[in-house]
Amino acid sequence: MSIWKRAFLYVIRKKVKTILLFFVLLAMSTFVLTGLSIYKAADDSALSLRRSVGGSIRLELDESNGANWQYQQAAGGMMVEYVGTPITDKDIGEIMSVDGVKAYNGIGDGSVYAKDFDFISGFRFGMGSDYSRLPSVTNSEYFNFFTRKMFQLIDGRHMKEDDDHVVLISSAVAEKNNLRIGDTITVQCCYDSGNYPDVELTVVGIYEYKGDTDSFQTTSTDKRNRLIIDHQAMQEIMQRDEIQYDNGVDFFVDDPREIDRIAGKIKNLDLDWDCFALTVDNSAYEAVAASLLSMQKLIVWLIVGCMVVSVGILILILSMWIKQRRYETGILLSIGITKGRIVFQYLLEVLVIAVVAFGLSYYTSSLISQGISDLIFNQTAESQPMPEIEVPDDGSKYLDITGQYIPYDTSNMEMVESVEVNVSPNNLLYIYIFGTFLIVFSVLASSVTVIRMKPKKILSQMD
Amino acid sequence: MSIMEIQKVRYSYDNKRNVLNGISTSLDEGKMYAILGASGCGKTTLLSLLGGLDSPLDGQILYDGQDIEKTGFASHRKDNVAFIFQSYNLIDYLTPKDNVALTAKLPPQPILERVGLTAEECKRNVLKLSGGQQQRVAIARALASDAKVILADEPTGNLDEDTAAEIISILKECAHQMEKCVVIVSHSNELAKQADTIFRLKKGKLIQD
Repeated sequence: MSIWKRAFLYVIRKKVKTILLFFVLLAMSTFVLTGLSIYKAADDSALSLRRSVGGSIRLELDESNGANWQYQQAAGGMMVEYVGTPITDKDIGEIMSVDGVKAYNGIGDGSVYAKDFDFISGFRFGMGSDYSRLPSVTNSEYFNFFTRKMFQLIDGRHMKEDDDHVVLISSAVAEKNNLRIGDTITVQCCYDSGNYPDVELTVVGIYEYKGDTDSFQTTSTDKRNRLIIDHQAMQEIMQRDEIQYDNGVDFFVDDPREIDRIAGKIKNLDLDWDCFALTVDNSAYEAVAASLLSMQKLIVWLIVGCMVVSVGILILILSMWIKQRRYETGILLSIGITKGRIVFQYLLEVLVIAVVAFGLSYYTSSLISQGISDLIFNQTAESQPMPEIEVPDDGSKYLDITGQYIPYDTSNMEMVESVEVNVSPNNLLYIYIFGTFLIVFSVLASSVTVIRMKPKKILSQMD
Repeated sequence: MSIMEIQKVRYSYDNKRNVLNGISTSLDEGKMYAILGASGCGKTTLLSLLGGLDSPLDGQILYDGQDIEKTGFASHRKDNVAFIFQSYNLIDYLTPKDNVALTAKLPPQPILERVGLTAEECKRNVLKLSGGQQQRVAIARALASDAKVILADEPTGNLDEDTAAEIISILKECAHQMEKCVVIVSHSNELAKQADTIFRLKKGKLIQD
């Protein structure tokens, strides 16, 4: 009689044991499959969240290296001039070629008078004219005020790399001057030295400032007065020969989880690291993903716990049953069936039941997984505070061109309220693979005491 | 013709007192042997050694001139010997036919009928058979294995007198008609009288009557 037939007959004829083992295996596989499915769903949500929140690496001029900066006596006092290697388009190109970097935004800096419109007036020192600082950007969508949700585009479009002489203005400036998309404004560099031309800019977008407007501000520091322009316009306004990225370049990555690896690769590029500094920012992702990460950690512990308990229960039950089957083991040994084949029969019996139980767990897990996911997610979300992005120690990458910290408007951040769990055939495949390993381990562990006995001892204990 | 030989076999449970003290003998095909002795004298141990369920401390057990330890105990149990136990030792989730099929090198049904079981009894749960019927199944299992040596440990110990006589008759038939070497361990002098050769195991020595 073949080992398969013996195993099959045992399963068929020992109905009570078969049913009991079936339910143990069904419960075990249902919980582990549910855990895996929730983990996978949380992982997918985290990936989508990472992609939407993003993370950035900033390449900027190294302010800490004094050799790069020169102090000069100017009419109004001391002036600091950067004399190190500037960030060039070649440097940007090299970094963009690093795997995982998807976009960049270079930031230039200038100051202008409003020639045919008015800024929102702030506190003014003396009787000087109103002026404001303005950043030039490569792609306004990636400008840190937008990525940190402090600016929200409410009309028009974002500025792209090939735009020429365009501007994004705040809704406050637009309202005050009755400006609309397509209108033009004229600005002029406010520096004392040199002759600067009037430069006309076309309004392509209007943003709303979501931050505080009540606190003490000068016209220049009031963020509603930020005119976001392209680099070509900046070149003409400031009368520069080349585009300058005075405030550094932000590089954006596909997956913030990979950000440290990508930063490491960038650091290995042949750039002038005596003059440049590299800083990493994935704080937004870390803040919003906290509940998801907690959930995933909890799920991992639940899966591991489930597996350990399941194996424990399985070993206990099988040990008892195999001990009861010493009689049979002795008979089989006496007729020349090897210990290995006897254990293989016990294994087959459990596997035959497991194949059915694991298959059914696909349906039982589908029934309960969403409910359990919601329960766990609510528990972990309740224990998590609202995301709060702290001011970093160095602060560099969060500073406005005026040196002010750009807060992160967490109220507008996309949050994960729940995860949609689907039990996938792939996860079921894991259950079959890992379940088989666990069953093999359990059967071997359960059989060890009987199998280590000599056939004669087993037979002598039977009578 | 000698099928098994016991050569200077020594066995001890605790390495101090020998239950088998250098015993030697040979066993022939077509004969029924009875081994008698008091409880604990080592009868079952000797049977276990012949069946390859245990190994001697010294000496050799030969089957067809080959040391069974060298050819492998499991293959010896599978191919050369068949056991019949006092408590029948049938597998409870198999029918009589399935139990016989466990070792079957020969078709089970004719053998079961030969030892006196009906076709209907062959399909029943073994636990629903009488003691005598269960022992017949055990004998059928031994015969179906086509082993040349049948080792029976108190095969009639749990049976009434009439049934025991029937079982002994079948075992005699196995030896004399089927040319098997049948070795029976027993307390019973009545059973031993049916054997062709009687051995008595006393103080570790095997003495032929």
